[in-house]
Amino acid sequence: MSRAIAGLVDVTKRFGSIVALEGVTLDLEEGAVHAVVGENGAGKSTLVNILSGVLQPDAGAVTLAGAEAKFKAPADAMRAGISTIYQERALVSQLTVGANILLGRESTRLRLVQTRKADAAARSFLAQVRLSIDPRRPTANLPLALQQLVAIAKALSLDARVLILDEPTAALTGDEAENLFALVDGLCRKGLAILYITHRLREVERLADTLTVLKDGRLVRTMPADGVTESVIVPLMVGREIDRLFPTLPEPSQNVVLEANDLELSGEFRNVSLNVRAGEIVGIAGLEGSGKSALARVLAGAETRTRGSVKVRGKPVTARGIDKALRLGLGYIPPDRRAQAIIRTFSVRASITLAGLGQFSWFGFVKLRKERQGAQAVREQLDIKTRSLEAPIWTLSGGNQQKVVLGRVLAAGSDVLVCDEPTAGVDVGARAEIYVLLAELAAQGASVVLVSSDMLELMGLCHRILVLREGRVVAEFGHGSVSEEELVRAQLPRHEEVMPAEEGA
Amino acid sequence: MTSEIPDGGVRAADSHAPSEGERPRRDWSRASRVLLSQEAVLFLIVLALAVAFGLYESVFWSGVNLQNVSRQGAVLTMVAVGSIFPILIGGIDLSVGGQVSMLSIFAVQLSHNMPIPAAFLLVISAGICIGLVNGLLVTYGRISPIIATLGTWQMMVGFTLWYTKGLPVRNFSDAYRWLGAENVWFLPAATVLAIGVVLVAWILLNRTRFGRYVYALGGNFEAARLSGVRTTFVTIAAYVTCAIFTSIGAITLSSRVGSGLPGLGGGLEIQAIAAVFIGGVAWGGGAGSVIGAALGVALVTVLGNGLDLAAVSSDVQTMITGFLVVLAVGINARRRSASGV
Repeated sequence: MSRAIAGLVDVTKRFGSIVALEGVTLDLEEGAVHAVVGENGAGKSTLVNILSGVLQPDAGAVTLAGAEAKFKAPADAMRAGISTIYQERALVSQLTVGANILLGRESTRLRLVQTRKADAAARSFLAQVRLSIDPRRPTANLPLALQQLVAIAKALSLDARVLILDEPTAALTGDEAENLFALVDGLCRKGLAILYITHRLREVERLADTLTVLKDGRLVRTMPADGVTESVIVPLMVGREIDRLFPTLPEPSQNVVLEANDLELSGEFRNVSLNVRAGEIVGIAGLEGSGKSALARVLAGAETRTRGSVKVRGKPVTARGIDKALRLGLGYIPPDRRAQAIIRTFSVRASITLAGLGQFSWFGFVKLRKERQGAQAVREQLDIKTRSLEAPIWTLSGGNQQKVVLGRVLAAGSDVLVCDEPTAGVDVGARAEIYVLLAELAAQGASVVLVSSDMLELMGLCHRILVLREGRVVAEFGHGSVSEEELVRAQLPRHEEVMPAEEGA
Repeated sequence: MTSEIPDGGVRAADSHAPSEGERPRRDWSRASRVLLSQEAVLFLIVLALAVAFGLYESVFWSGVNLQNVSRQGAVLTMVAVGSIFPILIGGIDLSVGGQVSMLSIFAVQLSHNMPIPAAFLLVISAGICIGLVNGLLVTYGRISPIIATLGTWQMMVGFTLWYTKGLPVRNFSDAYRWLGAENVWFLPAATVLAIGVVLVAWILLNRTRFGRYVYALGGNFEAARLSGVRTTFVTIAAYVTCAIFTSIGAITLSSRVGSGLPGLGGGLEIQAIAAVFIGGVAWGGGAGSVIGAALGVALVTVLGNGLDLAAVSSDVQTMITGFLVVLAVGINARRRSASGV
C-alpha cells in the first residue's frame, strides 16, 4: 500500500437539521485514483467542499500526511497542495490562458506579467497536460474541455499533490473524456493523489484504484475498484434515494394552460413552441448557452421576445412587462437567487408578499394584519423554517430562501410557474421538499416549466423533457423513457470538437 | 461560528436557532439593538447637544429660540424628507435647491394674481411637473440620476436668474407670510406643517404599497422587477414625491421671507442630503427611515443654532456638518456590514 497524502477522518457536516455528511473517513493515496460515486445529494459536493476548504466540518477532521489540518478558506487547502477542478468556474474568462495559470503569482516569482519568461512557464505547465495552445490566447472562447485542462495546468503550477476532479466529464464528448482519462493516468504515475467525483460507473471501471460509495451522506463502502462492475455498485448507490427525493407525479389534465408559439429571442433561441397542460411539469434541458435560461425569461415575460406569442389560458401575454405576465398567473423563479430574487434588507414577511402585495392592500395601503396572515399561510404551506416572519431574509438557509421565493409567486396567485434552476445552491433536505411542493402544486392544477441542468431532477420530476441545443428544440422525452446518459448526449453539440492536441501553435 | 462558513451553511445553522424558549428573547434583544443603534442614538445625541448648549448658553432653551430652531428646521425637514424617496430607490435628486428657488418665485408671482391657497396649489402642481421631468429623464431617458438632476438643477437656476434678472420678487402681505411667521398655539405654523409632512412621508413609506416598492427597488432592483413591481412607475413616483415635498418647503420658505429669490434654495440640496445621510439613510438605497432623516435635520439644525449662539462662524459649522456626514456614512457602512446587510 502506498502512503495516504490527505484524507478525512470521521467527518460530519450538518446544514441545520439536514445531515449532509456523517462520519465519513476516506484516504487519498499517492499515485492512486480514489473515485467517489453516489446519487445527487449523497454528499459528494459536501465532501469536496470540506476537503478543498470551502466548508469546515462540524465534527472530525481533514488530514494531511496523517496530521490534522485546519482549512479556513480554499486558499489554505490550495497552499497545502490540494487543488480542485470544478466543472465550469475554474478560470477568469477575461484573462489569457497564461495569465490564468499564473494568476496570483505574477509579482513574485515571475516579475513581469506577459513576458516571454511567463509565457514559457505557462507553456511548460500546459505541456504537462498535453495542451499546446498559445498562452496568450483569451480564455473566454476556449471550449469547456480545454478550459478544464488549463485549470489542471494551473493546479500543477501550484505544486498540487492532491487533485480533486468534481464530475469532470459532465459536459465532455467521448473523445474529450478519453483525453482527460489519459491525462489522469499520467498524473497518477507522477505520484499525485486524485479524488474523482462522478456518477458515471463506466469511468470508475476505467480509472479508479479505490472506490467509495456514498448514500444519504453516509459512506456505504470503500473497496478496491478492480473488477467492480455496475451490478455491484448500483445496488449500493441507489435504494431509497430517488424515491425519497422525487414524489410520484400527478396525472396532468387535458387543458392546455401555457401555450407558446414560435418563440424567438435573437441570439438565444428560435422556433420554440411548447404547450403545458394543467397539472403538468415540463422540463427544459440544455447546456449553458443552449438558450434554456433565455427561454425561461421570455416565457415569464422578464425579457422581451423577438417574435412569437405566449398565451395563458388563451389570453395573450404581451411581450413587455413581467408585471402583466404575473397578473395572468405566470410566476418566475429566477436562477440566481442572490442577484435576482432576494432583497437582503427585507424581512421574510415582506419577501413573501412582495409580488402579491395588491391582495393585501386597500387603495394602496398595506393591511399589515392581512399581510402577516398571508405570509404566515405561505410559511406553513411551504414549511419555511425561520424563527420569525420578521427575521431578515438573509438569515435563512439557501433552501428556505428558495421556498420564500416560490412562496412569493404563489402568494401572488400564480399557477403557471417558470422555474429556472429552482434547486441551485439548495441543500438536500430542502431540495426534496421543493420537489414535493412542485408535484403538489401540479396535483392542484398548476403548470410548471422546469429549466434545469440537473438531469436527475428533470428525469425524476418532469412529465416531459424538451432538450434545447444551440437555441433549438432537438428532442423530447417522456417521463421514464430516457436514461441520464441519453439525456446528456442529446444536449451535446453535434459537430465534432477539435482534439486538444491539434489546437493552436 | 457564523463568520467562518460561506454561503448556505451559516444560514441553515442560524435559522435552526437553539431552543424554542430562547427565540422570543433573541428577537427582542435584536429589535432593541436595532432601535438603539439607529434613531434612538440619534435622538439621544440631539438631546445631549441641546442640553449642552442650554448649559453653555441659557438662551438656547428660551421659547423664542426654540421657535426659531424649529422654524429654521422646518423647511429643511420638508426638503430632506422628500429627498429620501429618490435616495431610497437608489437614485438621488440634486435639483431640490433649484426647485426651491424657482418655485419660491412662482409662489410670489402667482400670489399677486389669485387667492393664496390657489397659488400654493399651482406651485405644488409645478413641483409635480418638475418631479415628472426628473423621473422621466432617469427612467425613459436612461440618464444617471446624478447627471439628470444636476442638469435640471442648472436649468432651473439659470431660468430663475434670467426670468428675474437676479432681482427678488416680494409679497409682504400678512396673508402670504402667515405660514412662515405665525404660530399655531405655541408652535410655529411651519413646524406644524413639517410635522405633518413627516407623518405623511412615514405613512407613505411604512403603510403603502408604494413605500414597500420604494424599499424593494433600492434593496434589489432586479429582484423587484422580477417580482412584478412596476419599477418605472415607482421610480417616477419617487421623484414626484420628492418634488411635492420640496415644493411645500419652497412655499414655506418663501412665506417666511416674504419673497421669491433666485438664490433662495442655494445649498439646500447639500444640507438636505447631508441631513439624510446623518439620519442613517443608506447611499444606494434600500435602507433608512423618515424619522432618521428628520432627526438628521434636527441634529444639523440644533448644532447650527447652538454654534450660532456660541458665536462660532458659519464656515466652521459647514466644516462640522461635512465631518458629520462622513462620520455617519462611515458608521452606517460598518454597522450594515456587521449585520450582513
